[in-house]
Amino acid sequence: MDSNDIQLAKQGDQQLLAKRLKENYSFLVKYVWKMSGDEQLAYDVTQETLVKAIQKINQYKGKSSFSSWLIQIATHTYLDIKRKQNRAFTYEQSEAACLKRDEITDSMPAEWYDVQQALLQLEDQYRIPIVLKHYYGYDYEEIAQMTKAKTGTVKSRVHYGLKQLRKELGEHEG
Amino acid sequence: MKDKKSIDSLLRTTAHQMDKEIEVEEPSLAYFTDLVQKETEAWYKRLWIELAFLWLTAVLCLSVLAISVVYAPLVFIGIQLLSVIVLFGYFLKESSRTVAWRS
Repeated sequence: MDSNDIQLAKQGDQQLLAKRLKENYSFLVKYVWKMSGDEQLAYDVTQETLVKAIQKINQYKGKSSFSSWLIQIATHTYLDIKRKQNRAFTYEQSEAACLKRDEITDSMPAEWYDVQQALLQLEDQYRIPIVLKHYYGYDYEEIAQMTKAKTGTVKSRVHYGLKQLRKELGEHEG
Repeated sequence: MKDKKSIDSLLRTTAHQMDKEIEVEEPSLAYFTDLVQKETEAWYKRLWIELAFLWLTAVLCLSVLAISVVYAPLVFIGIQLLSVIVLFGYFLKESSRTVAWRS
Protein backbone atom coordinates (compact mmCIF):
# COMPACT_ATOMS: atom_id res chain seq x y z
CA MET A 1 0.00 0.00 0.00
CA ASP A 2 1.74 3.20 -1.11
CA SER A 3 1.44 6.54 0.70
CA ASN A 4 -1.07 7.85 -1.83
CA ASP A 5 -3.31 4.85 -1.18
CA ILE A 6 -3.05 5.43 2.57
CA GLN A 7 -4.08 9.05 2.23
CA LEU A 8 -7.03 8.11 0.03
CA ALA A 9 -8.12 5.36 2.43
CA LYS A 10 -7.82 7.73 5.39
CA GLN A 11 -9.86 10.32 3.54
CA GLY A 12 -12.62 7.77 3.22
CA ASP A 13 -11.98 5.90 -0.04
CA GLN A 14 -13.75 2.76 1.12
CA GLN A 15 -13.42 0.99 -2.21
CA LEU A 16 -9.63 1.29 -2.12
CA LEU A 17 -9.44 0.09 1.48
CA ALA A 18 -11.69 -2.87 0.66
CA LYS A 19 -9.42 -3.77 -2.27
CA ARG A 20 -6.28 -3.64 -0.10
CA LEU A 21 -7.93 -5.76 2.60
CA LYS A 22 -8.98 -8.34 0.02
CA GLU A 23 -5.41 -8.49 -1.31
CA ASN A 24 -4.12 -9.28 2.18
CA TYR A 25 -6.90 -11.62 3.26
CA SER A 26 -5.28 -14.94 2.25
CA PHE A 27 -1.94 -13.79 3.60
CA LEU A 28 -3.52 -13.07 6.99
CA VAL A 29 -5.49 -16.32 7.19
CA LYS A 30 -2.38 -18.32 6.31
CA TYR A 31 -0.29 -16.46 8.85
CA VAL A 32 -2.72 -17.14 11.73
CA TRP A 33 -3.33 -20.69 10.53
CA LYS A 34 0.41 -21.45 10.52
CA MET A 35 0.83 -19.77 13.87
CA SER A 36 -2.10 -21.47 15.60
CA GLY A 37 -2.65 -24.65 13.58
CA ASP A 38 -6.37 -23.98 13.86
CA GLU A 39 -8.41 -23.24 10.74
CA GLN A 40 -11.49 -21.81 12.45
CA LEU A 41 -9.40 -19.63 14.74
CA ALA A 42 -7.48 -18.37 11.70
CA TYR A 43 -10.70 -17.17 10.05
CA ASP A 44 -12.02 -15.67 13.30
CA VAL A 45 -8.81 -13.78 14.03
CA THR A 46 -8.62 -12.56 10.44
CA GLN A 47 -12.18 -11.26 10.57
CA GLU A 48 -11.50 -9.41 13.81
CA THR A 49 -8.25 -8.06 12.38
CA LEU A 50 -10.06 -6.65 9.35
CA VAL A 51 -12.59 -4.90 11.59
CA LYS A 52 -9.80 -3.40 13.73
CA ALA A 53 -7.87 -2.34 10.63
CA ILE A 54 -10.94 -0.53 9.27
CA GLN A 55 -11.49 1.24 12.59
CA LYS A 56 -7.83 2.16 13.07
CA ILE A 57 -6.83 3.01 9.51
CA ASN A 58 -6.12 6.58 10.64
CA GLN A 59 -3.49 5.25 13.04
CA TYR A 60 -1.52 3.59 10.24
CA LYS A 61 1.48 5.85 9.67
CA GLY A 62 3.02 3.94 6.79
CA LYS A 63 6.32 3.30 8.58
CA SER A 64 6.03 -0.43 7.86
CA SER A 65 4.26 -2.20 5.01
CA PHE A 66 0.47 -2.54 5.20
CA SER A 67 0.77 -6.33 5.50
CA SER A 68 3.19 -5.95 8.47
CA TRP A 69 0.73 -3.63 10.13
CA LEU A 70 -2.05 -6.17 9.63
CA ILE A 71 0.18 -8.96 10.99
CA GLN A 72 0.80 -6.84 14.07
CA ILE A 73 -2.94 -6.41 14.66
CA ALA A 74 -3.56 -10.12 13.95
CA THR A 75 -0.86 -11.18 16.44
CA HIS A 76 -2.37 -9.06 19.23
CA THR A 77 -5.88 -10.21 18.36
CA TYR A 78 -4.75 -13.85 18.41
CA LEU A 79 -3.08 -13.40 21.81
CA ASP A 80 -6.18 -11.66 23.21
CA ILE A 81 -8.45 -14.47 22.02
CA LYS A 82 -6.07 -17.11 23.41
CA ARG A 83 -5.99 -15.31 26.77
CA LYS A 84 -9.79 -15.29 26.91
CA GLN A 85 -9.95 -18.94 25.87
CA ASN A 86 -7.38 -20.03 28.44
CA ARG A 87 -9.57 -18.70 31.24
CA ALA A 88 -12.29 -21.21 30.40
CA PHE A 89 -10.36 -24.00 28.69
CA THR A 90 -11.25 -27.50 29.77
CA TYR A 91 -9.19 -30.62 29.15
CA GLU A 92 -11.65 -31.82 26.46
CA GLN A 93 -11.39 -28.51 24.63
CA SER A 94 -7.59 -28.61 24.62
CA GLU A 95 -7.72 -32.17 23.23
CA ALA A 96 -10.13 -31.01 20.52
CA ALA A 97 -7.71 -28.19 19.66
CA CYS A 98 -4.88 -30.72 19.30
CA LEU A 99 -7.02 -32.83 16.96
CA LYS A 100 -7.80 -29.74 14.89
CA ARG A 101 -4.09 -28.99 14.61
CA ASP A 102 -3.49 -32.53 13.37
CA GLU A 103 -5.99 -32.06 10.54
CA ILE A 104 -3.81 -29.74 8.46
CA THR A 105 -0.52 -31.38 9.28
CA ASP A 106 -1.78 -34.90 8.49
CA SER A 107 -1.50 -34.38 4.76
CA MET A 108 2.11 -33.13 4.98
CA PRO A 109 5.25 -35.21 4.40
CA ALA A 110 6.70 -36.67 7.61
CA GLU A 111 9.58 -34.23 8.06
CA TRP A 112 7.49 -31.10 7.62
CA TYR A 113 4.75 -32.64 9.74
CA ASP A 114 7.28 -33.09 12.55
CA VAL A 115 8.51 -29.52 12.22
CA GLN A 116 5.00 -28.06 12.30
CA GLN A 117 3.98 -30.31 15.19
CA ALA A 118 7.09 -29.40 17.16
CA LEU A 119 6.45 -25.73 16.43
CA LEU A 120 2.87 -25.98 17.64
CA GLN A 121 4.10 -27.56 20.86
CA LEU A 122 6.01 -24.37 21.71
CA GLU A 123 4.45 -21.62 23.80
CA ASP A 124 3.09 -18.59 21.92
CA GLN A 125 5.89 -16.33 23.15
CA TYR A 126 8.46 -18.57 21.43
CA ARG A 127 6.40 -19.74 18.46
CA ILE A 128 5.27 -16.32 17.20
CA PRO A 129 8.78 -14.80 16.82
CA ILE A 130 10.01 -18.00 15.13
CA VAL A 131 7.13 -17.96 12.65
CA LEU A 132 7.71 -14.28 11.90
CA LYS A 133 11.47 -14.69 11.60
CA HIS A 134 11.81 -18.00 9.79
CA TYR A 135 8.51 -18.27 7.91
CA TYR A 136 8.20 -14.62 6.89
CA GLY A 137 11.76 -13.32 7.11
CA TYR A 138 11.09 -10.28 9.33
CA ASP A 139 14.11 -8.95 11.21
CA TYR A 140 14.33 -8.76 15.00
CA GLU A 141 13.48 -5.05 15.17
CA GLU A 142 10.33 -5.54 13.14
CA ILE A 143 9.28 -8.52 15.24
CA ALA A 144 9.94 -6.55 18.41
CA GLN A 145 7.69 -3.79 17.12
CA MET A 146 4.98 -6.26 16.11
CA THR A 147 4.97 -8.14 19.40
CA LYS A 148 5.63 -5.07 21.57
CA ALA A 149 8.71 -6.68 23.10
CA LYS A 150 12.34 -5.59 23.30
CA THR A 151 14.69 -6.62 20.49
CA GLY A 152 16.91 -8.50 22.95
CA THR A 153 13.91 -10.38 24.32
CA VAL A 154 12.84 -11.39 20.80
CA LYS A 155 16.36 -12.62 20.02
CA SER A 156 16.53 -14.72 23.15
CA ARG A 157 13.01 -16.11 22.54
CA VAL A 158 13.91 -17.13 18.98
CA HIS A 159 17.13 -18.67 20.23
CA TYR A 160 15.39 -20.61 23.00
CA GLY A 161 12.53 -21.65 20.70
CA LEU A 162 14.94 -22.99 18.07
CA LYS A 163 16.83 -24.85 20.76
CA GLN A 164 13.58 -26.48 21.90
CA LEU A 165 12.69 -27.29 18.29
CA ARG A 166 16.07 -28.93 17.67
CA LYS A 167 15.68 -30.91 20.87
CA GLU A 168 12.17 -32.03 19.96
CA LEU A 169 13.11 -32.97 16.40
CA GLY A 170 16.28 -34.72 17.58
CA GLU A 171 14.23 -36.77 20.02
CA HIS A 172 11.76 -37.60 17.25
CA GLU A 173 14.52 -38.92 15.06
CA GLY A 174 15.66 -40.96 18.00
CA MET B 1 20.32 -33.38 16.35
CA LYS B 2 19.73 -30.76 13.74
CA ASP B 3 22.15 -27.89 13.27
CA LYS B 4 21.08 -24.27 12.81
CA LYS B 5 21.28 -24.36 9.02
CA SER B 6 19.12 -27.43 8.62
CA ILE B 7 16.53 -26.06 11.07
CA ASP B 8 16.42 -22.82 9.07
CA SER B 9 15.91 -24.60 5.79
CA LEU B 10 13.41 -27.02 7.34
CA LEU B 11 11.35 -24.14 8.69
CA ARG B 12 11.45 -22.36 5.33
CA THR B 13 10.42 -25.52 3.49
CA THR B 14 7.63 -26.18 6.00
CA ALA B 15 6.33 -22.63 5.58
CA HIS B 16 6.44 -22.98 1.79
CA GLN B 17 4.74 -26.37 1.94
CA MET B 18 2.01 -25.09 4.27
CA ASP B 19 1.38 -22.11 1.99
CA LYS B 20 0.73 -24.59 -0.80
CA GLU B 21 -1.41 -26.89 1.36
CA ILE B 22 -3.64 -24.26 2.92
CA GLU B 23 -6.59 -23.39 0.77
CA VAL B 24 -8.23 -20.13 1.80
CA GLU B 25 -11.82 -19.37 0.94
CA GLU B 26 -11.55 -15.71 -0.01
CA PRO B 27 -14.77 -13.68 -0.05
CA SER B 28 -15.62 -11.42 -2.99
CA LEU B 29 -14.70 -7.74 -3.21
CA ALA B 30 -18.35 -6.84 -2.56
CA TYR B 31 -18.07 -8.51 0.85
CA PHE B 32 -15.05 -6.38 1.77
CA THR B 33 -16.68 -3.20 0.48
CA ASP B 34 -19.78 -3.95 2.53
CA LEU B 35 -17.65 -4.75 5.60
CA VAL B 36 -15.68 -1.50 5.27
CA GLN B 37 -18.88 0.51 4.88
CA LYS B 38 -20.65 -1.13 7.83
CA GLU B 39 -17.68 -1.00 10.18
CA THR B 40 -16.90 2.62 9.30
CA GLU B 41 -20.50 3.60 10.02
CA ALA B 42 -20.50 1.62 13.29
CA TRP B 43 -17.18 3.20 14.28
CA TYR B 44 -18.37 6.76 13.69
CA LYS B 45 -21.64 6.03 15.49
CA ARG B 46 -19.75 4.72 18.52
CA LEU B 47 -17.38 7.68 18.39
CA TRP B 48 -20.31 10.09 18.28
CA ILE B 49 -22.00 8.41 21.28
CA GLU B 50 -18.74 8.42 23.26
CA LEU B 51 -18.15 12.10 22.47
CA ALA B 52 -21.72 13.01 23.38
CA PHE B 53 -21.38 11.14 26.66
CA LEU B 54 -18.09 12.89 27.36
CA TRP B 55 -19.59 16.34 26.69
CA LEU B 56 -22.61 15.53 28.83
CA THR B 57 -20.38 14.50 31.73
CA ALA B 58 -18.27 17.62 31.31
CA VAL B 59 -21.35 19.90 31.23
CA LEU B 60 -22.77 18.13 34.29
CA CYS B 61 -19.54 18.48 36.26
CA LEU B 62 -19.16 22.14 35.28
CA SER B 63 -22.78 22.88 36.21
CA VAL B 64 -22.38 21.28 39.64
CA LEU B 65 -19.16 23.24 40.16
CA ALA B 66 -20.77 26.50 39.08
CA ILE B 67 -23.81 25.96 41.30
CA SER B 68 -21.71 25.02 44.31
CA VAL B 69 -19.44 28.07 43.87
CA VAL B 70 -22.17 30.66 43.25
CA TYR B 71 -24.76 29.22 45.59
CA ALA B 72 -22.46 27.77 48.27
CA PRO B 73 -24.70 28.92 51.21
CA LEU B 74 -27.78 27.61 49.40
CA VAL B 75 -26.15 24.22 48.86
CA PHE B 76 -25.13 24.20 52.54
CA ILE B 77 -28.67 25.00 53.67
CA GLY B 78 -30.05 22.42 51.24
CA ILE B 79 -27.85 19.70 52.69
CA GLN B 80 -28.85 20.71 56.23
CA LEU B 81 -32.54 20.63 55.34
CA LEU B 82 -32.17 17.25 53.69
CA SER B 83 -30.42 15.90 56.80
CA VAL B 84 -33.18 17.27 59.06
CA ILE B 85 -35.89 15.72 56.88
CA VAL B 86 -34.14 12.34 56.85
CA LEU B 87 -33.55 12.44 60.62
CA PHE B 88 -37.14 13.50 61.30
CA GLY B 89 -38.41 10.66 59.13
CA TYR B 90 -36.21 8.25 61.02
CA PHE B 91 -37.43 9.64 64.37
CA LEU B 92 -41.09 9.27 63.34
CA LYS B 93 -40.52 5.72 62.15
CA GLU B 94 -38.71 4.70 65.33
CA SER B 95 -41.22 6.38 67.68
CA SER B 96 -44.16 4.69 65.92
CA ARG B 97 -42.40 1.31 66.35
CA THR B 98 -41.85 2.10 70.07
CA VAL B 99 -45.53 2.99 70.51
CA ALA B 100 -46.48 -0.24 68.80
CA TRP B 101 -44.36 -2.21 71.28
CA ARG B 102 -45.85 -0.38 74.25
CA SER B 103 -49.39 -1.10 73.13
